[in-house]
Amino acid sequence: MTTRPFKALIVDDATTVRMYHRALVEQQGWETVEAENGVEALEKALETHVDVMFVDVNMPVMDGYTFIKTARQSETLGHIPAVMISTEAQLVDQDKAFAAGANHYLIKPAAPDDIATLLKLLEPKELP
Amino acid sequence: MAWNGRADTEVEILVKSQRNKDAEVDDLSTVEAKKELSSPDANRRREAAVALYGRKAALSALVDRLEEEDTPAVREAIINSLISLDSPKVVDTFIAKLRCDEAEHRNEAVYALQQMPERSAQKVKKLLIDSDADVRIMAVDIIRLLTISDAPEWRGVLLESEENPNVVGVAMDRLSEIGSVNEVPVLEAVIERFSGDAYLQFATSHAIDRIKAIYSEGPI
Repeated sequence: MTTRPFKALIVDDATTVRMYHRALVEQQGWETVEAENGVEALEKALETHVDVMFVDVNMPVMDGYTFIKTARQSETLGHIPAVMISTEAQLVDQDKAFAAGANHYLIKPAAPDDIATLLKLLEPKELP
Repeated sequence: MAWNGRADTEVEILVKSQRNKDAEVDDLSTVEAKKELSSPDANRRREAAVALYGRKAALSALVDRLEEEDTPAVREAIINSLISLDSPKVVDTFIAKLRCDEAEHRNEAVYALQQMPERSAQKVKKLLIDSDADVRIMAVDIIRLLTISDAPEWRGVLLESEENPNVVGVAMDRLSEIGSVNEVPVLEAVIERFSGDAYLQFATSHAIDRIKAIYSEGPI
C-alpha cells in the first residue's frame, strides 16, 4: 500500500489567516497548499491532489461559494470535502454554504481544536 | 491679462461651466448606448456599458442596469464605467451593496470603493463603526488601500476600540503589510485585550514581527 501525507488546500485572501490555518493543519501532520482566491484555488486543486479544502467566503476574483459550486461540478474535485470558514455567523450563511456544496461550516476565527477534530473526521480512509 | 474684457479666472469659470453643461447633455450615442443596456444580447449590453465610460449622463441608467444584470462580464463593464464617473451617487450605490446577500456583489462593491479613494474615504470611515461586523470588516479592507493621511489614525482608533475579533483580525492582516513602528504599542495592547483568542495572538505577533523586521532593515 502506498502512503503519502494528507494534504489540505487553504483558500483565503488574507495572508495572516492562511498562515494561521496552515500552522494549525501542519500541527496535525498534514501538508498544505494555499490559494488567495477561488480561481487560484481551482488551479492549485487541479494540479495537486488535495484531501480537504478550507475555504473563505469573501474573496476577490472568485468568492468561496462560487469556488465550491464550481469544484462540485468537476470530476476531479467534486468529491473532495470542503469546509467553509466564514465570519458570517447567521444560520442563513451556513445554509448558503451547504447549498453551494460545502460539507462543514466553521465560524472565524477557527479554534485550533475545531480544525484538529475536523481533520481527524475528514482523514481519507483510502488514498487515491 | 484680459480676454474680451474678462479676467482669466472668469474665463476659466465660464469654460468650465460650459464643459459641464456639455457633459450633461445626452448626445445621440449616449442615448443609443443607454437603450442598448437593456438588449437581450449580453455582448451588446457589455459594449453599451463600455461605451458609457466617463459619460455622466448615463449614471442613473448604469446604476439601474447593475441592479438587474446577471452576466459577470456585463457587470464588470458597468462597474468600470460607474467608477469612471467618480460621483457621490456611485459611492452610495456601492456602499449599499456591501450589505447585499450575494458574496460576489459585495466583493464588487469593495473593489469599486477601493478605486475611488478620495471620493469614498469619509463615508467608508463611518462604516468602521457600523453595527454590522461584516460591514466593518469590508470597511477595513477598503481603507487599507486609501492613501489619505488619516488612514493610520483610523486604524489606530479601530484597534483600540473594536471588540469583534474578526474585525480586529482583518485590520491586523492589513497592518502587517502597511503598518509602521508607531502602531506597535497599539498592537501590543491588542495582544493583552484578546489574550484568549488564538488567531489574534498569532496575527498580532506576526504583524509586530513583520513591522519590526521591515524597520530594522532601514530605508531601501
